[in-house]
Amino acid sequence: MRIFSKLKTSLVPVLGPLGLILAIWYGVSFAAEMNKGIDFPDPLETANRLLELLRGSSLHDASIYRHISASLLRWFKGFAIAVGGGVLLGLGAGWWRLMYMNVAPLLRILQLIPGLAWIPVALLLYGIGEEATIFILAITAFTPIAISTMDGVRQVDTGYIRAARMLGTGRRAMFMHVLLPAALPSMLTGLRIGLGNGWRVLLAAEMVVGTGTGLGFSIIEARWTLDYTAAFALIGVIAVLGLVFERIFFTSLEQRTIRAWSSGKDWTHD
Amino acid sequence: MIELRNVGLTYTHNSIGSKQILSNINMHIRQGEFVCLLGPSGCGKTSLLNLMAGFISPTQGVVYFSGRQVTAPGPERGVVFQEHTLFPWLTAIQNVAFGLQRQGMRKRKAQGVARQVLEIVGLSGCEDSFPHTLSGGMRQRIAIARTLVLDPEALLMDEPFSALDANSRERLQDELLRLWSRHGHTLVYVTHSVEEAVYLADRVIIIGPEPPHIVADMRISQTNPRERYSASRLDQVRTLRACLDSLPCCIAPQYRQNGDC
Repeated sequence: MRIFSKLKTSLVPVLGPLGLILAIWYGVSFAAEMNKGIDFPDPLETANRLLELLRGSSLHDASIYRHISASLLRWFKGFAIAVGGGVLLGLGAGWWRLMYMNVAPLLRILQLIPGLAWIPVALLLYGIGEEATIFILAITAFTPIAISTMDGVRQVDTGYIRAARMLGTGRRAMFMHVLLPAALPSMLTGLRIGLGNGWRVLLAAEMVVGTGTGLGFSIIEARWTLDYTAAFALIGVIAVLGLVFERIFFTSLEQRTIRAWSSGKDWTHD
Repeated sequence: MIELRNVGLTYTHNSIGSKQILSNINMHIRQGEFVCLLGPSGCGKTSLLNLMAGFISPTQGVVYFSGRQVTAPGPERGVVFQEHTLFPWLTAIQNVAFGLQRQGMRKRKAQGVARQVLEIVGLSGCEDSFPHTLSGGMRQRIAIARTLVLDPEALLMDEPFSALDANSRERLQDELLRLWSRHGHTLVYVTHSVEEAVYLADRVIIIGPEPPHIVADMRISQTNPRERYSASRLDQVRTLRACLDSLPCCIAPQYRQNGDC
């Protein structure tokens, strides 16, 4: 009985949504084939195609692994740029009032611009290809990271800053050892949004300005070869990769930081 | 040691106008003295302490510490706050070692010194605990330890034990007296409790509101060791309370100076 209930609590959150997705997918596929007479890939066909691809069958002159690694590498580069820039700008704008007054409105405006709207800018600056995709990703992920860091720093309790100054903390140490950790709970929210938005816009950007490799590029190319099953398989890969990275990256980071420091409550405001 | 000359403090706020927190305060605290600043809430005693700490600057007059003008906070003036200013992302020992490391001491050595000071405040065995896992009394011991570790000339304490239960408060008062008699720091202690002031201090300065000013400045004769309950102490409590009772109470809370510290 206890094993059963344990299985229930651990499996239901996984199998439930999965079953729901498969059911809807089958339903749509069936309806599309009945009503419009088109060959809409169902989950089983997609899974078979995915297996083929994973076994090394070539897709648009490259293996699926090549496409995955190309996308991941771009994601990593763009996200790294976004984190570096966003955290630096956020710390500065959160700390210096004059910088805040100048930068904050810009960030709020940037936030309203959808990632793909940067395509013309990216094309003008970099032309079609690698840099353009990374640029679009970086600028999309940058905004939420900068905003959450800035807001996080502004909300740091005056008591921590006073205590640190009383203990003889210089300016650089103030950023490194006080503002950064104190703003971390807020920053994590921004990093999480930046990571997700970046991943999504990267794949979309690859569809428009991509060249040769990448998951987004492959999906859009599948249109021309009418290989819709492969496109569906790639969408599945994208979802799984996003989920895995979000889990690995953030769950471990959160557990090592804010959950260790607090009993789950948001201590910056207590 | 600590000297205030004609110190005034006025907060200006665009929407509300300006409010005078302190005006024309003159005060001289001698080396090794244990001074309690006593007064109703909102009378500016915390502002006085913040001026001595260097967190805020006076709008008139000058604050001197050891003959030098106070312009910024520094480790020679250790501050113990009311609560919640330990860094929650650091363990007890890391909190205590924090100041030493900022002075350039290597991590290992700093933690060695911090360990000794934690022992002095009775917290051996809690080195690796995060603040949120400890009781309020233990957290205040760490807060005291992190200032002591920098070997300050003066300790400035802002109602440090007021958030604790009565039992822990009395124990920490006794331990503070023990530390003070051993090291002889100059101690400035803000409180609103008459009993606490009479028990701890050599000298009690009563601050009154509207306009904020020094109402009384009295010496307390202390036995050594101090006795918490004695006839003479009751007399002193009565005298001070009479003085406090003559002051208006329920002052509108002062607004915080935004972002500036």
